Amino acid sequence: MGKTIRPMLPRKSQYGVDPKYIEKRISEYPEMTSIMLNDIFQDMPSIIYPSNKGLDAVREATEKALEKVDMSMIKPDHSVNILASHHGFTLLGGEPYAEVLKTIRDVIEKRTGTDSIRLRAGVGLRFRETEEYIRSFALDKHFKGKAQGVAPIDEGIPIETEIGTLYGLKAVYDADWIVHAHNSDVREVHFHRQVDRAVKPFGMSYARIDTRSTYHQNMGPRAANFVARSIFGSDFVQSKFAFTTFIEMTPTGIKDVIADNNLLALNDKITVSGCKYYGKIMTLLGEIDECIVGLDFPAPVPYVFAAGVIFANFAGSNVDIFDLDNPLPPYTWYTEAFYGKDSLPLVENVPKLNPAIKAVIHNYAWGGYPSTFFAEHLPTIVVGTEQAEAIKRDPQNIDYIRNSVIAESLDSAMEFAYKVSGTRKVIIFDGAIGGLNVSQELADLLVKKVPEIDKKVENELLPKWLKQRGIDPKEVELF
Amino acid sequence: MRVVNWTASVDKEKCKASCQKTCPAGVKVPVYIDLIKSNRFQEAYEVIQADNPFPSVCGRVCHSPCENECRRGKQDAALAIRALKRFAGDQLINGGLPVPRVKENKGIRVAIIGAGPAGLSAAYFLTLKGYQITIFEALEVAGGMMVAGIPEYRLPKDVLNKEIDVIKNMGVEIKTGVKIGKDITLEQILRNGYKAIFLAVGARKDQPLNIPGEELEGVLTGVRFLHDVNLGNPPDFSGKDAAVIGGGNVAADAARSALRLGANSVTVYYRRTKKEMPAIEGEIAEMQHEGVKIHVLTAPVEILGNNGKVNGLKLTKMMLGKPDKTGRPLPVPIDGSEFTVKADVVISAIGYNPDAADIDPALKTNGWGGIVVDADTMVTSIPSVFSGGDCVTGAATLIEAVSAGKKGASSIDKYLGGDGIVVKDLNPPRNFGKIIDGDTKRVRVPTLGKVEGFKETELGYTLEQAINEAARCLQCDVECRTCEKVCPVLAIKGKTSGQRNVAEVDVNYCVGCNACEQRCPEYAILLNKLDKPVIIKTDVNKVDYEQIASLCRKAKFHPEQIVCYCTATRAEEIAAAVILGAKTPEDVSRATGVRTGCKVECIQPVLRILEAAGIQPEPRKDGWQWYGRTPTVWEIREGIKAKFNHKGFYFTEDIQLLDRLIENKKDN
Repeated sequence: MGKTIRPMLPRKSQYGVDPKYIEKRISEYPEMTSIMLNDIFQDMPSIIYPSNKGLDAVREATEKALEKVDMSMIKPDHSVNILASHHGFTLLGGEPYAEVLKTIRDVIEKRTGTDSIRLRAGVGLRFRETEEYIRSFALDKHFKGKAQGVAPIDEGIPIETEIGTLYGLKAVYDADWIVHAHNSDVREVHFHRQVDRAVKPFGMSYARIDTRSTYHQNMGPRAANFVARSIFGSDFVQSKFAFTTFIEMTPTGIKDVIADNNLLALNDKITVSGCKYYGKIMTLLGEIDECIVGLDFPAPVPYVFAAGVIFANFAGSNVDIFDLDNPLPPYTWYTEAFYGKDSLPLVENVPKLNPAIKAVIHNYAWGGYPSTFFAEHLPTIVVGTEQAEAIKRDPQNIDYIRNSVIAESLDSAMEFAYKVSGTRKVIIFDGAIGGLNVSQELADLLVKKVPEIDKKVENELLPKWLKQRGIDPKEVELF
Repeated sequence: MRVVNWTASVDKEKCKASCQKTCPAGVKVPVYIDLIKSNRFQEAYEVIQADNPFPSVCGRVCHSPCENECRRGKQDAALAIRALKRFAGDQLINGGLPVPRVKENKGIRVAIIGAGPAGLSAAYFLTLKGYQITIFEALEVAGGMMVAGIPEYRLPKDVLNKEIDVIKNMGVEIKTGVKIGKDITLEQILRNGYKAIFLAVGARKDQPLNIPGEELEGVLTGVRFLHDVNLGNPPDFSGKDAAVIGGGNVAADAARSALRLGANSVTVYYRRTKKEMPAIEGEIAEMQHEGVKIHVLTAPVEILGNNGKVNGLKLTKMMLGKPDKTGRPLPVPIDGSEFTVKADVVISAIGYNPDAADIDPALKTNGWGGIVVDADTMVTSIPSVFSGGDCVTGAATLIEAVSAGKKGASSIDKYLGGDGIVVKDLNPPRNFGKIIDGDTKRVRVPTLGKVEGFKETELGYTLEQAINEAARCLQCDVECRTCEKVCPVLAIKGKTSGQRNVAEVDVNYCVGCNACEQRCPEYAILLNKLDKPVIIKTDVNKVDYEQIASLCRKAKFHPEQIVCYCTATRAEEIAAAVILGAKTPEDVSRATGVRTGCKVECIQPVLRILEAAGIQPEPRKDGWQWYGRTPTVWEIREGIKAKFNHKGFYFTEDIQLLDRLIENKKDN
């Protein structure tokens, strides 16, 4: 068996069990091995991080990307809000994103002369999460105290848009200029369907509850991201928007840092790279016939990573969720909403969660996000009574443990999962960088499937996906 | 439906403004800022004085940790709290400072050793309680490091003396030139009828550099040098090149003093970067402004000399390594990077320690000379003898010394039979004037702008400047109410208690959703497990189901559709609650438990069902909850559809899908 890639270390957070209780990681078992993505997909791009240059490479790339950005609109007496989201801090340990934010601040100060530069870091449903990251990465010091975590229940500000009044967060827009600092990791394809991915935070991290709820409840599974597009396109936001900076992510690491005064131009670029690189991995994972899933990463259940893919997407990888002709992925909140009292779907075409998943071992994953749906639909084994207690305490997951079984240790959880599932194929969502940790049996299957998937995505799926999003596949090379 | 397992409660000690909580002495910052804004300067001074006998001194030299936590700092710049404190003192200093009324003399004598900030503060608070205090001070003057360590250009002696005079006027006797352990012993003091002793002898022993050449003429230590400068025996530095080793406040004071003594050049050498320098940031900036050079990532390896006198310094370049125990990066020498510089004077200011070894053989001290005390009571290894301040903690700050003196006074009061409450609670009525809310730059404190000998460099605010700056205070102690604004069931409210608001939870409504706990800027909310879970639910069977179904469909929901993912609440339950009388989202939350999990995602279904029932909820009066009309996909204009359909927005197809759901067409 091969040596496994080191999983992402547990992080001390109020949303997860204390790391001291995570005694063992799933990748430590002798039957586990790793698949390096560069070995199986020859066209994965070269990356700048992780690399021998460490964070210096990220800083240099950010500085270089910002060279071509026009900042002349920012005057020395102006204020600037650099807008960040919690998601960036979950990528590769969070340091690269923190470094990008620090660099943007330093470059703005140097180029424009203003020192009124604030960090406003938005969150999803864990309202203190970015406050934890701000402290952890010393962003408060770097921003001279002007760093603030903002949450969707904070004070709002109405924004007139072409679909009516929507609401942003006051603290996000309380500066003369805003800078949108994000990343191209596809993450929630089940929600945004890789449509206007770059714009999404305007309807999420930077928005109030009223507007987030409009996105998730009022707009339909494929039209939802128009909420973000409407806010971004509003006169109010356009009057403040200065430029954007994105970490260009791939499943193997950071390809580059890109920046532009035109967010929509950058949006097309990341639509292409997201479909191409992540599309291949997701399609490959969709080929798994049976498996045990290991959750082992410092994030809520749906957001634990393997090869750049989150568990929520693997739970739906039995359906091509990049294909917009498929109305519903097996998991989105629309799908979740569509199960009636008899536990059957209320409408046709609601696909079941990935039937390949025979058992889920919850070795380490946070609360702070409604995840009961997964435990209701997939046999789930939670490791450790302390972790179970932490989840029980979470108001967003009151019924998660009621739908799970609790194992005293990871050893007993693994043993149980092997017995009840009858499979030895294991995929571990542990944030392993550059590849994924799996059991040897699963590795053999995946490696065998690669050539076929590579060809299928390149020749058949990718052109279709791009066409659906208004991008001529012939122009892909231009991006 | 929601199962409630937890309820919130408020930690009243934490439910205070950050500035007040961060101040080691607990000074009620928002109260005195409010009084300054209202031109009530004596009251402002008295509010500070209630917790800290040195308002004017701290207004000049405090390192102001309160400003680091000021919420205004996240917006534009922290309020200039220190400068405002000084302003309050400046309004009174020439007309006479208020002398607090002391309680009737108890006839109990307490001795204090050391007339520094800790000793004087202990004397002040004990005197307020009616104890008879005598301070024994080794120097010929009172003030400790305030007089011997801080130069005149930062803290004029007459300002310090006026605040010491207040303490004297309260009845405290100060005997100077008496060294404990030499001129008098602890035993003698106790034998003379003193019922307790508070040792506050400070920390004045300079740490040696431990490098060759330290014995040369021209090598000075920081504390000793400042002592000589401040107490009238300054050396002549005319035409000399001075090198100062260290990055703390003593180094900064020594460097700026050296400049004022005529030095040709003054250079500070520090082994880490400027970011890690422990000196007050403003002092570093002032030092540079005045012409002191700072050479970072450099450490001395040898002091060079000729004929027994200093003539240079050999240094090595450093780089930063992994963090040390304090969390600061460890400086590591770079091999082969040594270089020499010319220097006629070298001032070593790398730290100073307590020197309590000779006080009494029975007094237990630790490895670095600090007095060992019980952390709670501050009692030493000798009964009736207490201790606090730098001599216990090692060199700390002025306001920490004040805090130690206050804590020592409280412990001694308890020891002598009192209640330990040494702070007089003042309750001046508040005005709560207008707050300047928009981005407003902090009003800069005027300075001399140049070096004029030892004349005070910082000039203090004018009246207009002070009022403007005070109006930037966000009055967090009364205006916060964050918990109230985020609560989805209106179960928590700010209640005025004395001079500030303290949140209170109505346990009859609290559902333990943790919204308040998650957003409280002061981390003052606790969650407590209920003995027995409580279920919040609206029974759909109480309403005609056709009515429910009709309302749901009007709102474009299937009645069985789940609309709250955290509680798995279906549209039918919300419709039932509305039919049964719920008029607002808060009513719906109280009746069904929705919006009490993630607090975010189910507000639109609630609003859609209310709207379908003909109810348009008004925005909540607290201003944070905006209930505008809800846009839906069915209302997207044709023009928009046409424009964006080819970009991946499948409006029409999604409308068809949702319509099929509402009609529950499983068999199509």
